[in-house]
Amino acid sequence: MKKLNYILAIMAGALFASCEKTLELDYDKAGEEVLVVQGNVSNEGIYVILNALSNVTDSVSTCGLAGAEVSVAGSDGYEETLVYGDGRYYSPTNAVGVPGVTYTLHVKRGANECYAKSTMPNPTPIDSVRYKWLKMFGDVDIFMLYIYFNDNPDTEDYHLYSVERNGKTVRFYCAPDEGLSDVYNYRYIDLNTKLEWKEDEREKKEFHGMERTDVIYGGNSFNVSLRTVDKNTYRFFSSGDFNGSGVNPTSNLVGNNCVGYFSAYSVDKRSMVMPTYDEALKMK
Amino acid sequence: MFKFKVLIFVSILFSTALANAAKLRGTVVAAEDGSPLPGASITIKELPNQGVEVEEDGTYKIEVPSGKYTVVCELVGFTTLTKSVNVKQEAKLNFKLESDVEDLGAVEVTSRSLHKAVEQTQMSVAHLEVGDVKKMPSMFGEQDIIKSLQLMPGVKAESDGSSGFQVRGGESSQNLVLLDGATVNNAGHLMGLFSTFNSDVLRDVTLYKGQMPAQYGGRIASVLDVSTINGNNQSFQADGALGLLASKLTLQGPIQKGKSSWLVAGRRTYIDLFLKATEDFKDTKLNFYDLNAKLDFKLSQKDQLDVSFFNGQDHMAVNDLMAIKWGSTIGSLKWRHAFHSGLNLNSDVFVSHYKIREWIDIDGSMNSFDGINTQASWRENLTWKAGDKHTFDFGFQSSYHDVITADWYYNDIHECEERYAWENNFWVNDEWKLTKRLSVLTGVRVTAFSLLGSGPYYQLDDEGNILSTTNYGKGEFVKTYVNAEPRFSANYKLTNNQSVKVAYSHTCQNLHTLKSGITSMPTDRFTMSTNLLKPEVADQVSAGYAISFDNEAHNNAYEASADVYYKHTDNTIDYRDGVGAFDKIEIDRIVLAGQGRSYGLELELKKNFGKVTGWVSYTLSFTESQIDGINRNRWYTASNDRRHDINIVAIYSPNKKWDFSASWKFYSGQAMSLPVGKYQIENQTYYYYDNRNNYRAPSYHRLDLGATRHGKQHKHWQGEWAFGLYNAYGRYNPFMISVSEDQYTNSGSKATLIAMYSFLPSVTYRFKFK
Repeated sequence: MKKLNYILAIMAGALFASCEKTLELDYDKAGEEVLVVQGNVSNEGIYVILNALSNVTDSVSTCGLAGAEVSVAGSDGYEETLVYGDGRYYSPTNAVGVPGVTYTLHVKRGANECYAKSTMPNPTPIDSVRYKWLKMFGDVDIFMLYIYFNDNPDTEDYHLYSVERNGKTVRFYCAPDEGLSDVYNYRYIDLNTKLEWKEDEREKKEFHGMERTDVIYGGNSFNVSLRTVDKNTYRFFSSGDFNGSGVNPTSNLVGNNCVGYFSAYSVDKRSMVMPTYDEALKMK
Repeated sequence: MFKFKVLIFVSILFSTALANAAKLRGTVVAAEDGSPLPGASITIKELPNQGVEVEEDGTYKIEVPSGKYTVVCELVGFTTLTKSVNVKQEAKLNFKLESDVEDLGAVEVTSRSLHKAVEQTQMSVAHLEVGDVKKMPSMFGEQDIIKSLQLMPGVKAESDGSSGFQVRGGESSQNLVLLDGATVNNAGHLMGLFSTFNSDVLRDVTLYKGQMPAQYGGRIASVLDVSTINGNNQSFQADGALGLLASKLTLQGPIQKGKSSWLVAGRRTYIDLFLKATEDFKDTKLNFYDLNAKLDFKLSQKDQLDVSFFNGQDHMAVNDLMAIKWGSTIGSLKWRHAFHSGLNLNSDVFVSHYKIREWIDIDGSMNSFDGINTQASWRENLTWKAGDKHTFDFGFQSSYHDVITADWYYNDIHECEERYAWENNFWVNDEWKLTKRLSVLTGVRVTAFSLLGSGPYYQLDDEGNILSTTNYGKGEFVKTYVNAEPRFSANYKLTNNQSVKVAYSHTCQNLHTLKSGITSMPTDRFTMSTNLLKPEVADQVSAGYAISFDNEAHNNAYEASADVYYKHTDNTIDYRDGVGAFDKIEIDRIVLAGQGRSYGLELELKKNFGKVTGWVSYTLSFTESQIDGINRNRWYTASNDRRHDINIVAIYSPNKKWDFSASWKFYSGQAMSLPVGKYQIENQTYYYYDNRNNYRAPSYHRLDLGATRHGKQHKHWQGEWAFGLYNAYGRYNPFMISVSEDQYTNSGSKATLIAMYSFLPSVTYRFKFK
């Protein structure tokens, strides 16, 4: 439904010759120091990343703050203080999460302190990853990635889909358990990219000296991960604001001036490589 | 003994006065088609303090001492008529007024609205009347009454070019819009670019800005009461307009000459034809049409029957990919019976049905959304003029509501939420002229809103999760809300040309709307009050001052008014943090309710004579909300808050051939939310907000120009050309401002202003055939 209204708004705007210009705005700054928390417990490991809030007119700082007390405890008796290194706090014993266990995070750094709880669900295995080009709005093609998976019909699951292209996240998408009980469930992800297999000259791959993200080329590799998360994690990512609509995402962190999430999740991953234009023709 | 003498003296005095009193009565109708002309003024030159306004049915009555008088009948847009009469005990004097407008019938912001404000007991009322709006600049060449209303103080455009309007801090969904007494849900075409109302068929437009008589209710911000003309009961007539984007045609004529008539009016856009010529939008459909039809029968001297029908539909589609259709169908039957000259009964039944359907098909995966809002009502209103002092209105309205807030298919999932309700309203209203200078209007309206089964109703926790569900049987009472809504308005005339007013009203609303975007859209979600959502209520107090100035040649040559108001609302709804309109089928789960307040000042100055006429209006307003669970429970600036609005309108009529007009609007920045920081998670940038609506968008200003060239009057034909230029200096006014990621800037973020329109020229040819 959100997609439908998005398209309608674009269409209505375009039809009436809407005009667009970039504004220079005088942004306020946050009144108090805000700590950004990313807490993760999964079958691949346990780690927490802390950052400070950045000004809107600055580039985002993602280097990871040191100097905090960070600990994780589980309902199965696991308890550990995480250690700092390479921009993150990690388990010194390389502990991993266990499905069904409820984990508690505690973070304290200066005046910022928070707690959060999360229960790790069972994994949802990926069956396969496929793609398709769709023709929309005349000659513009949309690249759709289809992730087929085996959903557990007996549990209420929430999923986060992450798509990396050439090692960089290009889509992050979340969806609730929709109670589907088919043998193969799938979710399509619109990457909003153009089909440009033929374009292999260097200058066409760049814009203002940076790699173009709106064009997919033959040989591009895609890594897809499917996280099965609890409801609070889903709420955080589904309420996230990527377009300045004026609300903060709903966080499961309880404490002083902390934003972010703490999530215990199960993850499964797949990879694929885009065929070149000639290979794609042969496949047809 | 003394008391007895006084009684005798008073009795003698009273009977003497009665013996000298005489009655003058009559009718005022348009010479052209015999239709009544309510609002015309009857004054007597020899008795400057005596004067009345013509009633809705075109009749008037005035008590005068016996004698010879010169009676003047005036109405804007018509030639003033003066007649002599010798009144003994009772005399009858009828007026047939000729139109003094060579234009082809449209809407005008009347020049006597402010003088009416001096006279009228009810305060905070704005009138639009049929006249010559084509002198005014128009968008796409289409005259629009709602855009004309937006030029008045206290009435704000919802967004650039929108026919959505906001009154005294209210949302557009808090306006009750009535067409011939029937409720209109969604009064806009093409996402609000055009209003539902075809200006060629409108007779009278009245806007009550929150202070309204008890006969009106159901919304807390305003009531817009629009009535349509009756057909010409004397001869056949055709009126029309050919524009670049839309054309319209109105046909009317007598069924039985002088007694009954018919009228059909249609309007359609053909934007699609232009789109087909473009490569990008050749597969796009974009059009609307609307149809007004009316039959009226003068059954007897005391009985009038009107049958009205309206159908308006919009259609937007992109080939086989997606489509959205929405529209209203309204049918109404009105019977007016006059028992005698002071006692009238108005009986109405109407059905109003609004439907929206949208769907999108991506790679065979069909998603669709349907919404329906249907109301069927029976209304009775008895108006009793008890002497010269009191005018009572008694009445009731009984309505059945059927609302489908959403019926959607999303992948393989089908969800639907449908609600039913039975609403009963009772009212009594008295306009009491205590003295020559003081009049008061008091009333009360009682609303009983009963939510009916079938369907599930929920109990929720603080986060909106469903704790329990109760299923009710069909027709079973779920919950009843009863609200008593007192109304009061007083007018004290300091002199014949000055008055001060105060008013208070308590109003309630049981239909709630959640905007799906930054402006009202057909895709907005709506719901009735539920077991969890209580009726929205508003208390408004206001005070005002109005003055008119005469010069040597003209009455009311200049007029001015000032109003202040304060309004407090309860149970108004807003989104919970982090959810959108389509996140849950159960609308109770995505909203929270709280309180609001708005206050402001409205000023207006008008010039009504000479070759240049026009007005200046200014609105100062403040609107805030406080809802537990939103913005850390603190008061925040409402998203529709805008501090200053200025409108300047000028019409220049140098000769009978040409009219020129210009309007200039200035709005200070609309409230909006801007982030105070940002952070990154999973390579996605999130923006951090401290307070809702903490920032102001850039100010808005726009100049519109219009010119009309009237053609020669032929025996059966008259035509004219109307030229317009919307946003003459092409300013990029803010429609939407967003902050988003941008990989090509150093900061990774950019703020973008989207403007809907640059300058828009238009040309329209209008004609009249009879």
